[in-house]
Amino acid sequence: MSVLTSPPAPRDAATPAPRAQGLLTRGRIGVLLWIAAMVVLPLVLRSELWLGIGILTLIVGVGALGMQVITGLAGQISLGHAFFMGIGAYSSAWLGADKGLPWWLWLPAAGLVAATAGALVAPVAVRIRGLYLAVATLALVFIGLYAWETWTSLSGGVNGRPAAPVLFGDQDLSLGIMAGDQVILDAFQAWWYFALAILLVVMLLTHNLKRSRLGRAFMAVRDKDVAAAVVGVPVTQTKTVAFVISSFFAGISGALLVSYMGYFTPSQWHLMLSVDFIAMIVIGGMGTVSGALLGALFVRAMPEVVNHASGFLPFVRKGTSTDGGITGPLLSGFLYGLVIVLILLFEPNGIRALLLRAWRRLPAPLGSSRERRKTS
Amino acid sequence: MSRDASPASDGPPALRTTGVSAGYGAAGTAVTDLSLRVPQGQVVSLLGPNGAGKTTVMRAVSGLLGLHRGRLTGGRVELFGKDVTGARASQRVRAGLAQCLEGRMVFPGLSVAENLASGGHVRRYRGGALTEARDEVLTLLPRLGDLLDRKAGYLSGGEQQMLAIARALMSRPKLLLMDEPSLGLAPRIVEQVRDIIVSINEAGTSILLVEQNARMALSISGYAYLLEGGRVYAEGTPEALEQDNDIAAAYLGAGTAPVTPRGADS
Repeated sequence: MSVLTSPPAPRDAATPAPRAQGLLTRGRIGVLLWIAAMVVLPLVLRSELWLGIGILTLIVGVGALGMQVITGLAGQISLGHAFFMGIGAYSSAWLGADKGLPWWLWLPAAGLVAATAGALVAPVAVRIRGLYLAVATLALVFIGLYAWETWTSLSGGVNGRPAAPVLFGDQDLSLGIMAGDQVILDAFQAWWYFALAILLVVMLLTHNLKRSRLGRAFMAVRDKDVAAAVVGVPVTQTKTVAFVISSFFAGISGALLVSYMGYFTPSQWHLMLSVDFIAMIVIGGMGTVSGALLGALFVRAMPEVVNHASGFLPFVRKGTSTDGGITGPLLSGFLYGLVIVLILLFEPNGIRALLLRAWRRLPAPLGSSRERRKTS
Repeated sequence: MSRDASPASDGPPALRTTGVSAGYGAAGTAVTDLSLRVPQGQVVSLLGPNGAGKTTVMRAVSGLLGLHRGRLTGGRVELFGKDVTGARASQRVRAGLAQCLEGRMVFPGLSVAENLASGGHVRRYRGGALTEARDEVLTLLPRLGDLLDRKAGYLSGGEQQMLAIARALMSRPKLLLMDEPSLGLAPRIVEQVRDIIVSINEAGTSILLVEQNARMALSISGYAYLLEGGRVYAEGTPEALEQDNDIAAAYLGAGTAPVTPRGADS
């Protein structure tokens, strides 16, 4: 007996629905173009300042993807990202600088130590939600700060300590790659490509994770944890896995960050760093790979852009101001805040959604089918 | 047809609860000494006013009491003859149980296709098997086939209810719990939901139906339990319950218009 609204027509099983994909992953061409641009950029961009900012963006992009996993996908608001990055940083420095292990050991090890810390924290963290979770993970940051400052044999105390170098054979990445007397890549280019390679791996992992059964379980827990339990997703176990993966990425990012900088202090792993990462995924776009990268770019590069642009404005003072006048950093802070407010007002789904909207308004490219309208 | 009241099916009942008591911490006991039975292949409904304990019974069966800070304080829950009293929700899903929650709890941030895929979580469908299971479900709810790319949060109330049902079917359940599937839906959509429930049952799935819309529920059930204050107040076939004037007046909404006969709207 069939009294359904439309007859149950036999469906064409051979037509899988086209998937809504991210901005950077929209078709293989988009990804290849992006990679090509990333490869060419350090060859044409001859500014050490901007290359440096670019490298930092690539490195924090790894951390932002970690944040995307725990908050964007699994919906758990964690303020502990700085703590896990710090753990990655100190493990890498201890293994790489003190014990002299090569980078291909200390880098994954930094991720694993941070992931272990995530697994240790998880039994508590997965049992609380929302603001309570935020406060609990906030505590991690301060416990971490205290530990780094007191454990001076590891951290060097407030004076800091040198980080692990990245060595390829006898070549130090921070000195550039040479062939005999010939410089093939300078230090900035070498670091750019190294960070890019790691970021690409983490991007691929996150993208695949999102489309996997586990990724769907993360998003199910994020959207409705009761309904997730109903379909048979083990909720606490799934949250634990999200914490572990997120901490792993954070640890990798922290290790890369300090290795690039060469020297680091305990005060770096402060709450503001965690807040930066939350800002990245919120501003860029929650739950997507491209959103994390756009957010990382915005949060890292935007203050610098404003800072440098403000040097050309007549009413802005150079250097510090003692009488309350507007300085570059001050203006930068204002504009940065303003842009965040504007984005969240006009496009709560972040820069990614803004760009997607702009992309749809472009006239149809030659010969290619028009982008179908998606609600995502 | 499922209206056959006698437990003629072979094998153990799809669901049997024996003396189940459950409650929520300080709020006291919500369900006391409750025993009910869903024979295989039947639709059994659980009726009663707000606060009678219907949803608590559902949670006790599906293993979700813990998520609501509740606790099973006594009794046994068996699915297909297997004791699952202490089992986790995911283990019960693997044992053949699925549930449509009250309030159409779809995953709003996921597309319809992803919602359906997540419904098959415990089955670990790979590649083609997932599409196959989906197509099977979509023959029962064909309209969802046109909405696969749509985000579930943007669907209408009726479409979300259809999606919640379809998602539950993705695990190929042998017993389906449905909590208020007609709640908040237009009468026309309620009709459709009822017909879908009948089709699901005819395809071989046993159903425990919790409803406030008693007439709708009884019109498709083979047996019904009336809950009041956390206890079974009356039970029997729909015919028997309807013949009892007191019950009909108090619980079956003697004042509300009866639903149109099945098949009138197709």
